[in-house]
This record gives sequence, structure tokens and C-alpha cells, in this order.
Amino acid sequence: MRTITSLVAALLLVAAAARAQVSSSAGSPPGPPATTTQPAHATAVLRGHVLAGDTGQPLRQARLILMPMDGRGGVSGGTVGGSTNHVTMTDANGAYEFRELPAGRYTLTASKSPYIGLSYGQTHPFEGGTTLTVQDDQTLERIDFSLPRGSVVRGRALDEYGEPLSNLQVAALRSQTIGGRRQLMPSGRMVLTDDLGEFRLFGLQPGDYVVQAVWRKFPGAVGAADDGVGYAPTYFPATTQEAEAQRIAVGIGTTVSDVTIMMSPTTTASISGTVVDSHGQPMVGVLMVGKRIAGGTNSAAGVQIRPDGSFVARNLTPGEYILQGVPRPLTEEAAVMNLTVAGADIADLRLVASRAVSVTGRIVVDPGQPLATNALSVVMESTSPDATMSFLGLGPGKVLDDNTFALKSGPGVKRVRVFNLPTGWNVRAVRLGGVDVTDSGIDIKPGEDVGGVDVELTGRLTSIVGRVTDAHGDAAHDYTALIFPQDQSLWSNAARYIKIGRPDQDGRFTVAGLPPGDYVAVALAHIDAAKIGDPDFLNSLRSGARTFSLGEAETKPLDLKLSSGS
Amino acid sequence: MPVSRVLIFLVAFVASAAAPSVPLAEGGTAQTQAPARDTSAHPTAGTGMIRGRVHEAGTGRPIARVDIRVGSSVLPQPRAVKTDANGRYEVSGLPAGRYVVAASKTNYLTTSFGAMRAMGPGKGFDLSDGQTADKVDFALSHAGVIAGTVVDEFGDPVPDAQVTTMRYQFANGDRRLVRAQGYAVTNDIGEFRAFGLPPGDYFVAGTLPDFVFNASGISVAYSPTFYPGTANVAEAQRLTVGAGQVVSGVTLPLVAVQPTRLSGSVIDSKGRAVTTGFVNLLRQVGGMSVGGSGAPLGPDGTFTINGVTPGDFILRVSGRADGESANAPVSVNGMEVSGLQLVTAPPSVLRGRIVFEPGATPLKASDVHLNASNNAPSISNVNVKVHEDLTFEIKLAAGHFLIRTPNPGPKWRLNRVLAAGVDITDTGIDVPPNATISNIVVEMTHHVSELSGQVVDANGQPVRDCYVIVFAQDATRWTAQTRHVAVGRPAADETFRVLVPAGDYFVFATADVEPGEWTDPAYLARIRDRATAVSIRLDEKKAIALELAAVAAR
Repeated sequence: MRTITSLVAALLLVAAAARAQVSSSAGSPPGPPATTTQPAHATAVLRGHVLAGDTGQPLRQARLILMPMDGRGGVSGGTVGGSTNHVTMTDANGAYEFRELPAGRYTLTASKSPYIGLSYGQTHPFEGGTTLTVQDDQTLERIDFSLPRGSVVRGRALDEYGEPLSNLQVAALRSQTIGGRRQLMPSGRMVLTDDLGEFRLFGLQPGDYVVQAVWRKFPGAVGAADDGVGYAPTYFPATTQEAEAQRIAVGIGTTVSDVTIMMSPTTTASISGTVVDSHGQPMVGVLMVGKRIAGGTNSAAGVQIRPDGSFVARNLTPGEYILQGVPRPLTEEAAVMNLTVAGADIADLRLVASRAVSVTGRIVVDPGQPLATNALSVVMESTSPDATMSFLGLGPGKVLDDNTFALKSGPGVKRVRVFNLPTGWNVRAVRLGGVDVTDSGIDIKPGEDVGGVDVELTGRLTSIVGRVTDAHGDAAHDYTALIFPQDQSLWSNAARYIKIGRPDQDGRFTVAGLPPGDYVAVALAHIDAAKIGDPDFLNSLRSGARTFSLGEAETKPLDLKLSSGS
Repeated sequence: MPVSRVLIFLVAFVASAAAPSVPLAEGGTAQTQAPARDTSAHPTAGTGMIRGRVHEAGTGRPIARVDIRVGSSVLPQPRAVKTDANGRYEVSGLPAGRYVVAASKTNYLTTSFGAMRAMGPGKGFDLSDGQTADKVDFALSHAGVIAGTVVDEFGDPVPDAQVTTMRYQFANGDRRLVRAQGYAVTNDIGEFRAFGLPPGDYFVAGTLPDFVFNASGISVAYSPTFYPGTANVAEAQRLTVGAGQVVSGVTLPLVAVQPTRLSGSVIDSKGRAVTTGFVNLLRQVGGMSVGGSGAPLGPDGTFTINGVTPGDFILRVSGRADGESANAPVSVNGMEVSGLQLVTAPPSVLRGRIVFEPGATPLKASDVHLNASNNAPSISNVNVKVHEDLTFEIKLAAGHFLIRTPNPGPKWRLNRVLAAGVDITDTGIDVPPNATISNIVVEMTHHVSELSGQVVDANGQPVRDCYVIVFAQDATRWTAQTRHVAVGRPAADETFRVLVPAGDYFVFATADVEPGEWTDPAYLARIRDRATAVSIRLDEKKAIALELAAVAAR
């Protein structure tokens, strides 16, 4: 299995692994990788070419995004308090150049439709890239990309009489792990069937897919089509059951044709009721009707709430729905309801809005370490992996000069997240009444304000730096180091506790910002990003894996052996 | 995060704009957009039946799953059924009355029974108790298709380009580009197929979504480009699509331009920086919004939108919890625009009262449909409240507005709208930001000038299935929402009635017109020479006889 994967990679993704030719033009000695960088100097240069993998011809106007890695091993977005992404495009010869770069660690991706976008150092589909470490005054040359052409799946969608169906939404779905659960997620674009019922999904990475077509009709539409007939979301070739969906194997740059989907007719239903605000008055606004389909909530469309607060939404195929009354203009209120529609009309629904509650607290910064907190903002994020709509009018809570913050939140179990944390800083813990709620989150109940949230920030981050050797004891240059907690209950908070490290151009990986604790570390030739966070996958890696403890602010050297498994 | 919120919110706006457009009601004025109300006390269950068959024009092949709508003033709402596998349908239990039947299906042209052409007005027919109207059959023509390829300046295919079909429409008397049925996104080999097009003239525009380009360092971007390859709507070429025609091989080369950057800051009406939310940049083309981009507001209230290609835009901040909003027109010519300052304002308020002329029963407040409308496509919603005592309050963002009272019923007509004693009926009113304008008087009159009559065909037989277009002789009055162009249809008594202000008019009766086409000044200019001149005084009720115009070559 591994041979085949490697072979596929060798065939077409090879050029992405091009080694950087480093010429230290200004003679600055290579030092240890900088985990905290001061963008005082911006003198480094990085350049290369982007080519078409199928023809070898240069690609014009390919987009290159160079993202600074911050202290958490993630990407800092925005332009305030963190670092900025650098974006450029290739010229007519496929050449690109970034100038005046601050020293630091970066990831670099190249993309151009309909080719498959690649990260620097990526050798497999659905894999992360490796980091590029750039020193002051350094020029990195020949950071080249050869982008494989995406594959195509084309076919038609037909009704029960064999007639073409137009305007169906068609997607290629792949199994992925979200919040510790495996589920089908759309991969790449969704397309609509045309007047001949035809569709053409493109830009697909190699892998196994199921293809699904979804019929949708505007829930506010009144008239001829409102006759209770529609089509259930249908998988190729002709089933509504995920288990019976036929997998389609897609190679690299290939076209799979004649994917004919026979849609399953179903009854549609109307739902009706009223939406009132928290004072019991009719809500002025829109009722958003979203259906849960593979990959979360889809097709959210609005129907007007009438002046008396009543609403009717039509043309709903059987399934799980989430309804949300959204006031216009936006206020700090929302009315949310989950609903199962099974074919029969549903009347007399009553949605009652609740006001967002206040969440107040303060930022506590490690003593002795200066941090300008006034660029920070605090948000509450749902712990549930299910897509839920949020209160649309609520912004993040800005941190004031006295380090306090106040924000509004809808109900539910929410974790605190801090935006715009500068490089080298992380949340150590969130406490409510002295209780650590960093991972459990805060159970926010309607009408009950939450005060006294302490968000402790630390600038003394942990850091894991290491190298990987293969079975022969030779240094490996292409691998993924995966570090995850020994405590399985923490796996659902993957963003905080599960991190991967990829080799830089010297073969060394760095993982910064993991909370102190007990961890498992493995190095694999390749990890499908869709499986990170999958409990079955993580458990399968435990046996024989390296375990270690990480102390507060510890810098841990961690050399690993390339695992033969996977 | 803010991006997805904005997108979700936009869906709601789009969704609320959808409305059925097939005219099914007979009689009354065709101007009204509200569905026909069942004001009669007729029973809604009966013993009549309508049935028929739908097949494809040309092939005769039966079409399944066609939506059939049966409408009548004796039904509280139209009855809807679908055809079976043999293209057959049947609607029973119908009370006696006059009926209109229409058939529609995606990719076919919606056709009313007895219509001279697809999308044209149908012929109603009478159904008596116990009667079965057989053979109410339809031959549906395919809708048209425009198919082709979007390429870049080197002739290479462009994937993911959005292709929009547009046509000039004359809604509200204003000639503006509106989105037509066909919309497509190009595939990996640059191909698109915009379908569902009724016959007509179309403009085709290709864009690459601006959101993708909200990044600095982008050296090339593409302007929204009209066929055959121009960024200038005035240079766009029409593509004529016949019934069921597939116009293929349309090559649309996108115009590459140098993108620039637009930056500024937003403060609220109290001078505080607006630090949350999103600034939207909406591209304006020929009077419609075509795509857009935007940027989040930073903690200091500033914003920077990158990758902006030349054109006319409206910069907007809206949807705020405090109700404040800002709209500002911006033109970008390729040079960087910086230092823009947007100031959000609370909604402005118009207050006034509605005055009914003595001598007839005034309308109840709940029956008065008051609105303030604006031809700028950018304006957010207008909130109108008419109180029991006929005073009103309208909340709206700043702009130029016309105040109207649509659907005032048969007795009443808008006479004048006065602001501080000045007649603003046809000139409209400029509403500054953060303003309260009181003492607006909306005068309603029952002294109406009515033009009525019958339409006969070449054989002298009365015709009901037609439109009577009454339009001012003075072409300068063919403006937005003018009161000087009105349209009626003969009712059950074969008589049409049209209410207009006193003045000099042309009158034209035709069965060959698309609803709304009469708001096209070019259309009025075309029919002017074949129309009948008539003058009408205040309070005059004038009856005329009209002959149905022969169908002109289209």
C-alpha cells in the first residue's frame, strides 16, 4: 500500500519537494531557527517558478501565499498584532519573487485553478507542507512548484423518467475527521447541473470520492412548484444511503466520465409558525432555513418573517434542519430551533428569541513579560462539532487598556479563544471562579450573564525541536511528526493539543506552543490530513510510539524514528 | 469569520428578491405587483374540470413534471398540479368562472394557454358548472442557451469565472440592466452554459470573484468584462437568442487590468471609530450591483480593500446593531484611493400625514400602501409605518426618494406629495443623512381622470386578452415610477379602465408585449406612431374604442 502511494507521489508530486538552493549572499551565518522573530529587518528574498505538472510549461498568474508561522504552530491571520501573509503572483514566465521578508519560519503554497494547489514540501495529496526557514539577508532560490492538473469527474443527473435535472448542486465528498468523528465532507468545488443535466467536477485531488447531487428549491418560493414533490439528496449511482454510495477512485490528472445519478423522488413539506423576540413581539427580520447535509449545514436561505411574526417555508425535503430567526437590523437577539422534517407539513412552530448574554472577564499576562493587550480580542467558540448558526450581530470582545474585556454570546457550551495573539504567546488557561475551563468550555445559559472569566496568557511557550531518522539510521528529509496527548479526552480540542511538525530545509521539525502535559510522538512518511484527530487513527499509532512529558516553558529536543506503519 | 457571516446575510437579501412573474390575473391594472386578491364571495369548490396534455414543441414528445397553474378570480389562490409521465394533467372541483392556465418547467418557456407566444399574455376561457374543459394543451418550447468559453488575455481558458446574462429591463420606468435567468460558472476548460433564457437580447458578462483577490501583491486582476471583450458596458454587444435557440461558441476574453487598493476609516455619528464588522464594496454596472468585495474593519476603525479593479462602486457599512449605516459612491480608475472616511448615520426619518379629499370614504390606515423608493440600487431597506390617525413615519438611509401610494384601490389616487408646501410628487425629495423631515403631506384625491373603453380586433370582435398602454405624449414624463404611463386590461365586462392625471396621452392596445416592457422609453417611442392620441381633463371620464394593434415583426 505504501509503495503505491509513494509511487503515485513520485510520479506527479515530485517537483513540489524541490530542495531549496540556499545562497547566503550576505554571509549571515545560519543560526538556530528563530521561534520568536522581530520583523525589524526585512531583508530576505525568496524566489522560484511554478510549472504545469502535465506539460512542464510555466504557469502564469499562479498565486503564491507565504504565511509566517507563529508561536502556536499555526498561522496568524490579519494584519494587527500578528504577522501578515505575503501574496504574489507568477509572471508570464511562471517566475515569482518575495522581497524584503523578515527572517522567520514560513509555509508557502502555490495555486492556480484547475491545478492542484501545493504547499512547499508537500509530497502527498491532502498533506501539509514543510516549513521554510529564512534568515536575515538570505536569498532562497529555486523554490519551484510543479502543480499537477486536478482530476475531473463528469456525468449527468436524471429524474425518475430519465429526463435531465437542472440546477442540482453536485459535490465530490471524501471521508474526513471533524471533531473526532469521521464524516463525508465536500472536497473542492460544488457545481450545478446545466440544462442537459450535466455536471463537471474538477480540480480534484487523487483519492476515493462519493458523488452527491442535492435538489434545492427556495423555501420562500410560492407557486407552481409548491406541490410537495422534490428529490432527496442522492448519491451516485442512485441511493440516498451513504453506505450504498459507490466510491469513485480518482487518479492524478484523470477524467472519470459517465457518472449518472438517478435522483430519488421524495415528498417535500412546508413548515409554518411564528418568530417572536425576547419581549414576545413579532420579530422583524428573516428566518434562515439551513439543512444539515454531508459536511455541515447547507443551503441556508431566508424567508421573510411577516409583520405579524408568522412565516412559511416550503419545498423542504426530509432531513434535519436548523432554523434561525435573524432580526433586521441585527440586534443582540436570535431565535434558533432544530427541526426534523419527514415529509408531512409542520405548523404552529414557535421560535422565541433569546438575548445574547454578557461575558466579562480580564486578561492576565505572565509577570515580567510585556505584552500590548489592546490589539487582542476575545471570542466564544462552540465546542460542538455540529454546525450551528450564531448570533449574527455579535462581534468579538476587544480587550481594553485595563486588560478587561466584555462580549456578547449566544447560549451553548463555548470555549474562549483569543484573536490577534502575537507570535510567541499562547493561552495558558481560562478560569471561571477558579475552575479551569480551558478545555471543558463554559456552559452559557440564556439570560444568565457570565462574569469573572480570567484568561491567562503566557509568553513562555513550550517548544519541541527534533530530527527524524529512517530504518537505516539515515536522516529523513520528508516526514510528518505528529504529537498528540496521551489523554484521549483532549483529542476533541485538536486545535490546541494536536500538532504536526514537518521538516524545514535542514530536515529539522519544530512544534511550538503545546500546553504542558503528557504526549505521544510519532513520525510517519505521510499522514492524510483528513485523519488527524480521528480517534481510531490516533489509537492505532500508540503502540510502540514515543511518549514524553512536556513541562512549563520547556524546550524539548525530540529525535524520532520514522515509523514503518501507516 | 466575518466573511462567512456577511455571505450568509447576503443570501437572505437575494432570497427575498425572488418573486413569481407570470401574470395570471385578468382585469385590473397590470402595473400592480401584488398577487390578485380574491375579493369575491364565490364558493371555491365546484364541479368543473380542466385537463389537457403538455408536449414538446417540434417533437410532440410528452413532458412529465410540468408545473400547471390554474388561476381564476373565483379561486382564493391558483391551483397547482404536475403532469404525469404521459404529459397529462387534470384539475377538478373547479367553480364556474373565467380561467387562465399556464405551464412551466425548468428549461422550457413558461406558456399561458392561448398565448400568441411564450411569455405573452394568455387567453382566458369560461368554465361553467359541471363542464369539462378538454384539450387545454400546451406545446412548450425550450428556453434558450448561451454557451461558450471564457479566456484570459493570452487566450487560455479561465476556470471559475462567473458568467452572468443581463438584459435591459424597464422596471419602475428606469432603463437598467437586470440579471436574466442564465448564470453559470466556467469549468476547468473555461466552458460555460447559461440556460433557461426566454427569447430576447442579452448581454453576457464574465467576472472573477473579487473576494479571491483581497490581497496585496496581486499584479493582475480582471475587470468584469462584457461580450465581446470590453469593460465598458456601452461597448457591450447584444446576443439575440430565439425561442429554444442555443447560441454557442461565444468567446469572452476577460480584460486584464492593474488592480489597486482602496483604504479608509469608518466612524459613527458620534465620531467614534467603528471597529467591528465589514465594509462592502459593491460594483455598479449599468445600474445594478455586480459582485463585490470587502474587508473587515480593524480595531482602529480602518479598512483596506486590495485587488480593486477600475469601475464604479458603492462602499457600504450596514447591518449594524445600532441601526447606523453608510453608503458612499466611489470611482476607481486604477490609482490607489486612500484616506476615505465613511461616517455612519442613524436612519433618517420622514414624518407626515396622509390627507384624503373630503367627499368619499377615506382608506383605513392598514389599507394604505405607502412607500419611499429610490432608483439607486444600493439603498438598504426602508421602514414604513402608517398609524391609525393616518400620520406616518418612514425610516430610511440618506438618498433621493419618490413617495408613492401603490394599489390605493379603485376610488383613490395620489394627487400630490408636498414637503414644506413644495410639490415633490415627481421631483422626489433629497433626504440628508441623520435628518428628520416633518410635515410631509400625501394628498389623496377621488377626483380621478379615467380613460375606459373596449378593444376590438380586425373583425370588430371584443378582445380581452391584451394590454392597453396609456402614456403621456410628453416623452420627458416617461421617467421612473411615472404616473403618466399606466396600463390596464379589459375586465370581465370587456372594458378596460385606466386612471391617469389630466393631460395629453397616447393609447395603444396590444397582445404582443412583455409585462413591464411599457416602462422602456424605447418601446414607447416605437409604438407612439401607431397609438391613438387622446386628451383628458381633471375629473373627466372618457370612453374610447381601440383596435388591437397588429403584431409587429419582432
